[in-house]
Amino acid sequence: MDKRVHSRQLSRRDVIQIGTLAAIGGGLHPLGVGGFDLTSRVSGDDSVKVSNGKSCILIWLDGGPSHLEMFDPKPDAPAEVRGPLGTVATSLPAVRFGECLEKTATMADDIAVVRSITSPLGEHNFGTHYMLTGYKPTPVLEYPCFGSVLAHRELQRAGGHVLPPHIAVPHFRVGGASFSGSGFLPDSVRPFSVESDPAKPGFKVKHLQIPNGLTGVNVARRKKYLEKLNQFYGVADATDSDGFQEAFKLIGSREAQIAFQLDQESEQLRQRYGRRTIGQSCLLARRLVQRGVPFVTVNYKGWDTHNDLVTRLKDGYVGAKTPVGLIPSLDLALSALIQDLKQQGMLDDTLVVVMGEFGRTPKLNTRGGRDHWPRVFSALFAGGGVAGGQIIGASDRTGESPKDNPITPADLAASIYHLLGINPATQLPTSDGRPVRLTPAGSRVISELT
Amino acid sequence: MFRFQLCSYLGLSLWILLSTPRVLRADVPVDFQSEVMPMLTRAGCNAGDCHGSAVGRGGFHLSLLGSSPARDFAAITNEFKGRRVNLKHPGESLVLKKPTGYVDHGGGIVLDEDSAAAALLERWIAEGARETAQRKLVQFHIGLSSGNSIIAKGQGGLVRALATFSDGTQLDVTDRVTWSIQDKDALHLDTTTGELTALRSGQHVLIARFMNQVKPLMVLVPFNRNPDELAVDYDLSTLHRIDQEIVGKLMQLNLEPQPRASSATLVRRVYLDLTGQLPTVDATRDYIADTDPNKYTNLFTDLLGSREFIDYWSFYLARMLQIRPQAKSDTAARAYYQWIRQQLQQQPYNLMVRTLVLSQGTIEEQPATEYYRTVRGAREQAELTSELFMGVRLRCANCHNHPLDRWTQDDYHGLAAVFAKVRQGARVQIVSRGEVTHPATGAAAIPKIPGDRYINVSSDQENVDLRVPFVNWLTSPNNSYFAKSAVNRIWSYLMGRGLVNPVSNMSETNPASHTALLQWLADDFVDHDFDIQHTIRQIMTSDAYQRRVARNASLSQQVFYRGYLARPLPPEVLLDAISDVTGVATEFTGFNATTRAIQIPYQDIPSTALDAVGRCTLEQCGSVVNAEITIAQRLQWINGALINDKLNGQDSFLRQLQQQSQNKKISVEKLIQELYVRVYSRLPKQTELVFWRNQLTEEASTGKQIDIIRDLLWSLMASREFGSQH
Repeated sequence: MDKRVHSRQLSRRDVIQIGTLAAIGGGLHPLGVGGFDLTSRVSGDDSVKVSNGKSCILIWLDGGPSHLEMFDPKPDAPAEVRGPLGTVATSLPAVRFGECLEKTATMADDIAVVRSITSPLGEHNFGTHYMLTGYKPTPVLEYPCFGSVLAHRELQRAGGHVLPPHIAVPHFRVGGASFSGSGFLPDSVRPFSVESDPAKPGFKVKHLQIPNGLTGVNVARRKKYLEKLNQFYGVADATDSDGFQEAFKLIGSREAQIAFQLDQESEQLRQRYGRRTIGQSCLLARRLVQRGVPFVTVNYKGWDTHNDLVTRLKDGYVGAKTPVGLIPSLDLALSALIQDLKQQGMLDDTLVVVMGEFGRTPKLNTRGGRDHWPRVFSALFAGGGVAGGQIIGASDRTGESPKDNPITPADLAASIYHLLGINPATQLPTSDGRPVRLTPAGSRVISELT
Repeated sequence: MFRFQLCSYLGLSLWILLSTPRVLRADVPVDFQSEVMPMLTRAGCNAGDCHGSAVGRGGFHLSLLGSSPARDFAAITNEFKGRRVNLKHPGESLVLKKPTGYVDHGGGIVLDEDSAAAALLERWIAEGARETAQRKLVQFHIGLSSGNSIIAKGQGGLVRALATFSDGTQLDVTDRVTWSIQDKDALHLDTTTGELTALRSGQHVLIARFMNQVKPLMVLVPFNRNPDELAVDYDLSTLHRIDQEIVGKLMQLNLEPQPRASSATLVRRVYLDLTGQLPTVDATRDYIADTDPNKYTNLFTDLLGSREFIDYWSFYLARMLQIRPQAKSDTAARAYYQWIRQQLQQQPYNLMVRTLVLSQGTIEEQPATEYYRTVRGAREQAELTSELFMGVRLRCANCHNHPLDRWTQDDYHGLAAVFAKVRQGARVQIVSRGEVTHPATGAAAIPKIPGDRYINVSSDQENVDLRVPFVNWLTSPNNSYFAKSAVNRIWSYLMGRGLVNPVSNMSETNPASHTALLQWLADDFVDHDFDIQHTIRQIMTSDAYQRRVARNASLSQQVFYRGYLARPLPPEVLLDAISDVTGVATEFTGFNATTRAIQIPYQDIPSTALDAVGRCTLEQCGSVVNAEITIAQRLQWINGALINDKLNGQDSFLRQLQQQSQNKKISVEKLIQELYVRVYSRLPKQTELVFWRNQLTEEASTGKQIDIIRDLLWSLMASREFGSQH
């Protein structure tokens, strides 16, 4: 059963739009925690069903994850290629993952790994732009990432959502942080960064609640006045509000407040995801997707491992008894996420993508690390109708170049759009009104994935 | 009509050339450097994602975009046991069979076997595959054969590339050049025939690469004239030199310039640009009421002499120089900042840069030495110096000759060698040892002035300061980068966008939107002893600076300065403005209570207030000043302390207003006017006045008046008008 809650219907039922509050006037009184106390609230009975297309959780491994220690190990290669870590068998015959992915390895039947992604861009910003938009960066136009494209579609066909349609956990500073995400699309589809660490005790989105001394009446009036002032100034479109419109919506919504309350999840489940940032971020992502958010970017930083792979990828700190480095933490979070989505009946409608801007050099460097390597690297897909239990494409003996079925980031973007039910040849207009294809001409959907 | 000199010259020579038949004689052997190499580049063989990548591809490594013909010759003829070329059976050569698809090729088929390119390659092999360089490229020009750079939308033109070689020959090399178009939706080029079609209006760049040269061609495609707009025929000769260029281009593009902005708009604009502050209520009212015809000139002249001007332009310089505090103390950063302030007051720009680049000693002896503690390493110092004072990015030339510009590896490592003997510690000094390794030769790089001469150092001159010849060259009136880079920054601060944009990327392939204007501004800056204030005066005197904002104009039109470019205020300025409007200062840890955000020497100071207005730290965005404002920051605006605390503060403007109104009743209209002048630096229009009067009167029954005014004040500060320079 699809347990997702339909946010559009809820928002109508809950009458949480601040605009309407102003009309009610002074009848409301200030509330401390919890936003406006309105007559109805998010129903817990999950009776509202949704089938408005698929959602996506992108786990972005910022900095460039090593394909050789993760999804494309080379156990038979010479030591300087093989690296310091071992491998682990998966539920697929003859397919091995890096040793730190032991939990994910048991779920290989639900997973498709693409091992032959190839790109010429080995610099963080450029690679990130290419992977997240399907376009190589150019000085004339910034393209939107697929999260914002999906958000755009959602806003166009539905509108009125309370939760922003693209949310980044904990934030969207990717690839050197010079990338807005929304590209040439309006600001309203820029990813909403939570900005707080979901793993911290007492996690909450800062400033979501109206503080003491202010009331809903004040906030509603400010919203109304601001809209009027911007209208006087000649801002033609009310959605072009520098983020205020979205912020007001969030503040006025009980539903939004609840969406971010991780402590509503059982302790056992929170533990299963792992108590580190990546784990709790993935759990939050599931909560958000469950409430109708079409795209969540989980931004997991720290993968630019130029030195000391053992500590950074596996152990986490020198002398760790239990490995808590980048990969084991991801392993815990990712496997819990897939399992949880499955249990909630959400996996078929939720595409999970795990990738970064490039891979790492086949040969270890002198500092026990690996440098940038875009010529071949891997990405993982699960859910969302992806045909699991397969490895697509292959790299050569040393993980240096694609051996067969080379797949470009443009192909990858086309495939993600396709899986999410969007034709990659769709054109969106820039602010100048010129139509731009979602992915470059010539990009192709990876047929094996679907 | 205004016309590019270069283009008309080019058109002429191309015309002559085209009227003489091109000589292609079978008895002249194929030349490796001027024929084979360009063909490889054109086919993409030596591109960065192919054999031109740092480690080559498939075991075959060519220099990126053919920057090193000798190395490539060796790779083609000697490596792989010479199997790449087969002199006996040229057609059997791998270098031919792979790209044409006869032998499995990772890059697929890139050459048609029947093409002229394939024939050329085969003939070169048949003639012995010799490393010939019969002719050196002396000059390389591209242009439209019409001699004019304007094409109507939907129409076409013929592009020609013309090469002049050292042996005196001139050749039409259109079909040998590697062409690229920055905006493929704007121009279409048939690379064989040179037929160019204009698809979109605007100014577009076409880039041609041939041998070791890269050249841009700017093509203007006029906009369709809006029928509502009346054509005004400007007599360019009566205009300020700046406007001759700006209006001239607007006329070419069929764009109508905006009229002059109102007094209220100009007083706010000039105050913000020169002092980073809003004009006070009195200053605004006085200026609007002033009937002196010279009031505008008087305004900026007075402000240029103010302390606030020094404050604000020191802020620009400090951000440009990327001042950063040390982990435990910001003493050095503060001293450095004070030094910058003092320089701005007392020294012309060239002397300031000279002192900076030549600085030696401890921070106490010479605060400018902090320049050598900003980055670590000679290469990084070279990159910083070239980016700040030449506006160029040398970084690409670290590993290979710059693919999009003139810079070579010799330039990059040569400039690094200039700084190699500078010890960057507590005491900056010249030491006897220090060199950087040139990656291509493995030997110490020879110090070099970028794009210019090598600096000869004899072995007995151990402690010679190589920075001296460099800085002499850098700050010389003849340097074509230094003054341009400086005036381009000044222009971008005042006009919202650099003539070359971004300002740190002046390169052959990123030409200025108004080439002649940039040159004139630079020459004028040099002629006036590198006086920053002089250039500011010039720009502020122009009509271009004083125009109204062109609302609803697309960015593609705005870049031509049709109107003043509206833009968000720098975050620090916005925060100061909020403090000024509310009457409650923002406090910064470690600074006294009266310190304004723009007076803080460095970006990286912990401040939730600055975070909320969208500043970014050095780590986040380097020297970029504005980050984008996010929803999370807006939550802080609405619910956080940033504005709410200021609205409610003890000595806040609202409290004072409240007290005043207790003594003497203020009319609603007066109140609205007061708020508008205070926040927007203008009086409300009649429609606005009526709206707010009705609104406030209507709501008076729903709550306390002070609450309503507080909400209005909040909204005014959150509005787009307040947050913009316009």
